[in-house]
Amino acid sequence: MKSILLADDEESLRVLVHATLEDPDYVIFEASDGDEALAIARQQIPDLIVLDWMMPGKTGVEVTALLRLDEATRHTPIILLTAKSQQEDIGAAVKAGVTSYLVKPFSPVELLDKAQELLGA
Amino acid sequence: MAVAALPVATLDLAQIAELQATIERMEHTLAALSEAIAWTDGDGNISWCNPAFSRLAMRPAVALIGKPVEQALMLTLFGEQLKPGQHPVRKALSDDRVATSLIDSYEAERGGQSRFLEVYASSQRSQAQPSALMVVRDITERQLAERWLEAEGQRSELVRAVAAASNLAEDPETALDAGLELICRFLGWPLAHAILIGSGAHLHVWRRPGPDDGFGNFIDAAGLPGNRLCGATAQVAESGKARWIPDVTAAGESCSAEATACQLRASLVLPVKSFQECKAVLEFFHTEAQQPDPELMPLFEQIGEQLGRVFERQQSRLSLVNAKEDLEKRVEERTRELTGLNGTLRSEIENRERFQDALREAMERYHSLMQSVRDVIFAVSPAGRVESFNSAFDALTGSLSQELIGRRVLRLIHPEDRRQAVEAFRLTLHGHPVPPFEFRLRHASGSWVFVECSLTLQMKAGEVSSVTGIARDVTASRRAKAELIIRDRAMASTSEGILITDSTRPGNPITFVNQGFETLSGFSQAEALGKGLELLSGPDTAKDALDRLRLAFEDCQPLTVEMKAYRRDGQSVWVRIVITPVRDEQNRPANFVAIVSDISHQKEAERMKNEFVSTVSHELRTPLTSLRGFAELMLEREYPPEKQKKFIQIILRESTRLSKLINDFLDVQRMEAGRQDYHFSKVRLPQILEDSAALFRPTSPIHTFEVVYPQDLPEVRADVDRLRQITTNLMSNAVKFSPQGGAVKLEARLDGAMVVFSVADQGIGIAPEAAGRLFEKFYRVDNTATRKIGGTGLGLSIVKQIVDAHGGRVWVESQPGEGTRFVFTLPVFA
Repeated sequence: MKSILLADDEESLRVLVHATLEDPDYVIFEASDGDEALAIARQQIPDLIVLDWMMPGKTGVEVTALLRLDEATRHTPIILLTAKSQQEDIGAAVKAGVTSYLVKPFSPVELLDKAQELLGA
Repeated sequence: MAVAALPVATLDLAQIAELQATIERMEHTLAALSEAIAWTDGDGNISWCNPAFSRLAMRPAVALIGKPVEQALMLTLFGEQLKPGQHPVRKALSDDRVATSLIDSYEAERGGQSRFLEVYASSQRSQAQPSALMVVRDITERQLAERWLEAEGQRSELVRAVAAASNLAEDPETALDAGLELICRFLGWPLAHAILIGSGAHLHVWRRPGPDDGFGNFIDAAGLPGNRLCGATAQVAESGKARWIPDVTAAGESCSAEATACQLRASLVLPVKSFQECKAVLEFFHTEAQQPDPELMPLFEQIGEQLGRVFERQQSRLSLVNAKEDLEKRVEERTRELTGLNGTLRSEIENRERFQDALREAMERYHSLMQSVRDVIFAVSPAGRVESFNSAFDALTGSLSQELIGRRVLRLIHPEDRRQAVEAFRLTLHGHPVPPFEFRLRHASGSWVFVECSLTLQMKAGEVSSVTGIARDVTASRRAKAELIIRDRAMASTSEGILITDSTRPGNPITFVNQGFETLSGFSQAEALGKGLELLSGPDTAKDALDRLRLAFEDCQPLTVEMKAYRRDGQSVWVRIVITPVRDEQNRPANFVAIVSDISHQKEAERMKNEFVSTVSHELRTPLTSLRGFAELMLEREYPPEKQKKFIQIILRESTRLSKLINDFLDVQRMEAGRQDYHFSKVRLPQILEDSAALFRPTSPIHTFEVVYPQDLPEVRADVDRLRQITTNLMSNAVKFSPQGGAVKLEARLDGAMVVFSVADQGIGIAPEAAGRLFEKFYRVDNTATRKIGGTGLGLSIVKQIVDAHGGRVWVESQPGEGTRFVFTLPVFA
């Protein structure tokens, strides 16, 4: 069983990502803001994290940076969902340590492919 | 000295000794003169100066020799430093004529005090080496005396008259004579006499006849018994202080018996001093007792000093005359000796002639001091007719001065300036000093020349003889001044900060800032002067911007930078700095002009626009992601019907959200561009209010919606669709910002000519500092609670636009945690 954490403040997007990744082999945890995401990630040490960038509390990039400081989550693959497509924004996210990113509106198929690749399925 | 340039080698030893003695004597004479004298070479470097000059320059002669004349004696004119080439010596040297002389008045700073100087400059080109002579007279005392006169009215009239008499007098006797006469007239006392203190015997100068011969007897008996001073006169001569005796017949006064005999009572004794030494005593008598007037005593002391001047002059004249006579005598003797010698001594005679030539040349230099003057100098009779002009007048006005002699001077003056000129002339005639004034003088071509004129009263033997004036062409400087004033105003009135730095000094210090800079930076001119442009930097100023500025200053390059600057109060402000180097005549970098503009608003607008783009981008992409995502998922996979329904509901909700967003955005655009049309009509409110509540009831079960209004609520003048937009926006906010639910109350009531609407919730509230910006476009209160809620930041901006267009007002009343109440007003339909 692989575990996935998904964090988004928009309920409809949580539903979408959940539906996209839904699989009997995966356990999916949900968080609706950055602080919650950080807490669950530290507790569960998931195999993959899908983070929205713009979230209340802490942004996805801030959560990524903090997780990269912990030994347990240093190498956890992180996919960032973002409405920002500017090159400098992407650069900042990569610098913070995200493994991959998808610009909204993203294709669920593409997200699933990326997730499966990172989970080593 | 010019004498030093003589061909000494061809003179014999005796002649050299003779010559040296002559030079020494001349130098002694020059050293004794109070005028400061200096020679310069053709390049304007000091080659010789007398002690008075070195006193004036406050440096020993050795420190002055070889120095450029401007450095040796820094002259200013009306407080301004002279421009290069404006120094009188430079002017004299730069003139093409063989010999040029200039007379001008300047000021100089000496020991922190401003001195007024009269400068004669004269150049000589007749010799192989051109040279110049400068004679400087310190006329500060005269200027100060003149100012004092202005304030002192009648008393000053007396001092002036005494001073004039003293100045005109050929000898001390004449001066004392005039002094007695003037003081008697001033005091209204009938009797006076003066005693000239000689080295041997004292000398009676003058006395006025008494009521009977008794006064003569008194003077003879009590005044100078045995040709010696006694009593009060002896005391005054000894102490140098004036003495006023109310009653000389009183007990204890010497000579009281003699005084009683010739009916003398009050007495005033004045010393006449020169260089602290009492040179004469004036004694005045009245036949009645007179109480002393303490205010007059300093006046009398001053008169004594004025009269004393005649002794100084006499002395310096005597020494000059003696020196000159001595010189001439020796030249004559030498000539006689040489003439008597054998013809073989012809070469020596030639030398003597050269020697005489040199002396003559030196004398000519002195005379040339007085000759050519650039300013117009004229004399006008008391009746206002021109008596004389110098040739400068012809050059200035293009007319022939000779034709104007004897004519009324007024016809030359611009009609608008005549009244002022007449007044100045009248005041001068009455002995009141008049400050220099400007008027327009007719030019032969019909145009007008601006001149600055100063007038001086000329007295001859106590009578007004004429008014002399010096007029200077100030047309160019006036035009330049007017232009400068306009530029100054332009600089002062612009809101841009302008500053000038001096790049020749280390650190490139600021030498000027305008008012705009003071307002922008908060630094006053006094605080900014002397500092560098780093004055504006602070913790968040980009180091890169400062480095680029420094580099541009070093390389003397223009530059434009934008940086975060800091005001005096520590507040940061975004500025654009445009620096431009200014070069001097030699093309060397001299100054930088920097223009500092406040671009905070621009930066803020930029920031808000970026934020808006990012917000809109986020807000548009989020619902779009749902639409695309769920559509794609349902195409790709098989889902049970209930799940499909859930996804389609989300798609529907998100597409509604998207269209609302787009509508808001378009509304704002339309309103901003002024393209929103309003259709005002008479609107009945109850239905609108009830509809608004009904719209929200089904969407939010956790809220209760209450509508409150009086039965007799009048109609308002409004665009009904826009009014619905207002209430919907405010109600939607009330629901969004009270996520825990609670009551939402929509209320309307009449207040004067307006209907006041309010929408109140029990939600999270708004901090007071945010309330002020709430109606700004794209503004969103940014905290965890509001981020969850989302929105474009356009709703309230739209509300405000609509309310404004209706002639109403909108505001918010709120406390964090205690709910929010939005209030707006609309006019009653009249």
